[in-house]
Amino acid sequence: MNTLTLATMARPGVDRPPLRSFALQAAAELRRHLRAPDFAMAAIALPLFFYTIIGMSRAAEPVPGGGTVGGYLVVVFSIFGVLSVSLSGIGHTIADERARGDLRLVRVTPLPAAAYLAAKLVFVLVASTAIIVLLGIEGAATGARLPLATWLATAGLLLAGSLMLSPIGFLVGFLVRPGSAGAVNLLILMPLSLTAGVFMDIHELPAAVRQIAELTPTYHLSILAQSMTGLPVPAQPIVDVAWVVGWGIASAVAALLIYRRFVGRQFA
Amino acid sequence: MTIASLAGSAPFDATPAFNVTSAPVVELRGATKRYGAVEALRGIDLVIQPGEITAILGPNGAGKTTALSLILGLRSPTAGTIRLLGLPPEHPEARARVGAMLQESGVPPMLTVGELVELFSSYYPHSRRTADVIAAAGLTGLEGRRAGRLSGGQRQRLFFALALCGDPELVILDEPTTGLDVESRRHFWDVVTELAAHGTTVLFATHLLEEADALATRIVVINHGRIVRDGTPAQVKAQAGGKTIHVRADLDPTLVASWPGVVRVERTGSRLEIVATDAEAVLGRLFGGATHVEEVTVEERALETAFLDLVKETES
Repeated sequence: MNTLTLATMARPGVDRPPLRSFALQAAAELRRHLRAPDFAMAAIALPLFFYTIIGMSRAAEPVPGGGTVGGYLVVVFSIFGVLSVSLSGIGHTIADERARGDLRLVRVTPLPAAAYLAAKLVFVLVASTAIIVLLGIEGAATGARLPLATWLATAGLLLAGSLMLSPIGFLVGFLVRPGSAGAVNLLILMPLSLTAGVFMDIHELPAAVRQIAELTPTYHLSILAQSMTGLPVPAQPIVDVAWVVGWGIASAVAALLIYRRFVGRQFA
Repeated sequence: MTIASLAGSAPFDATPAFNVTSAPVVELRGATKRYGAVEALRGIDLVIQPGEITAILGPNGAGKTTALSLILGLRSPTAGTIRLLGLPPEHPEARARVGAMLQESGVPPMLTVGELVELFSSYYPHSRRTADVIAAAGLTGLEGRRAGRLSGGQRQRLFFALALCGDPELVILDEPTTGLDVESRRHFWDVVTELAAHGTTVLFATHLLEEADALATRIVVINHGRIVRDGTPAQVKAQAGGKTIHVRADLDPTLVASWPGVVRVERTGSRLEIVATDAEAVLGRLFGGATHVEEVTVEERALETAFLDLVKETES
């Protein structure tokens, strides 16, 4: 603080266009995660790493009935990746921000809560795109061939799916203590990745497990995307879409209600 | 309810350069806040007009932060009404015209000082230039440093910059100099004084009478959730008692306590400690009476002692 202050306090400021705040907020979200390499490692590198060790040698193998092993692995590890981005990039981040008091400080500014939270969705979309594209490139390089149009459609579906899964991240962020966010995320990520088929084809599991799996959004997203790549799976597009969108809307409404209910207590 | 009806449309004509309305900057009516069984605020009435520098002074746990949280709309009152610039505190229009520095707040540690000031400036429809804010808060040269790598004092200055960047009409500061060394504290006071000189209304909480005395034009003393004193620093200090007289004399303390100008008397053996607003009158009576008095000392009371007495006095 120096003698310049008197002059600077009196100088006229500048008018800033309203959408700039959202753009800067989204840019800040991206920047902070890029600068935290542990996050990038966990969320983006892990699915690529899993694909490499599991799929590298078998990617070109055809699946009886259509499609390749590589196509299957690209789909299931994309779902694993986008879900982990939502859980850590939204859930863990918001839990930390609540503990540190970031949200309290933002709440006394005129930035709408919706803009603050939507900036986190922008981050999820960017990170999800990176995962899906990198896995796709890795899949193509290892022999999982698909027509470009099919590939793009599948990528679009997975990206839309990542948006539908992201409210689960907001639920974690609003409900979980920062110290337990990592553990809770793992408890959500593991079963939901299992039902997407990360560890094994869900149809090889006992009927009881399969019936439970069919209640999860990741199962239906996975089946839908697998069938787009030509794999012989029992997809029912309308039913599957309804499950994924239904989960997305239900978890978004729950997150909104919890935000409203606790906004004055946990955030202040 | 429209914004216009809430804010009042008549312009305030004292300082045409500043956009103020006829509504008080802050208005609390019977503001009460209960946390379960704990009553943090017990019916506060407080009206702050544009241009005032008001200190909310009180010991820890007196209700200062709760009062500021209600004014900022971070919490809702259990009873009573709060108006900020004539608006409900959570109204976006009110938020756009107020800047705040909170006690427990944070920013993402991976972002730099410059990025954060730029980001927070973008939240406001009208804001100061980033370089001006950085200079005013004393952060020049630290623009590129990440928030997570700032020292405690630098962090406070960053939060001060974030409170200033929206060019607010009202600045609310909760214990702003906590963790600052004496020199930084004085610099901080200088900047706040300059802000006020340029028409910004300032409301701050502190538990230091020295800080309230150095900065404020008005001191509101809070204890146990109630306003116990409200006036200029001179008035509050006078009410807290001016001088301490030590004397060895065989006098009944209750008699001495009844003399005009005496605030409080304590007896230890044959020694009396007399706290008095009018020390000269008390000395006159001591020497004018028949009782033998010796070992008389008179001392100016430290501000902190005076303040603690004031708090103690309001407990009973």
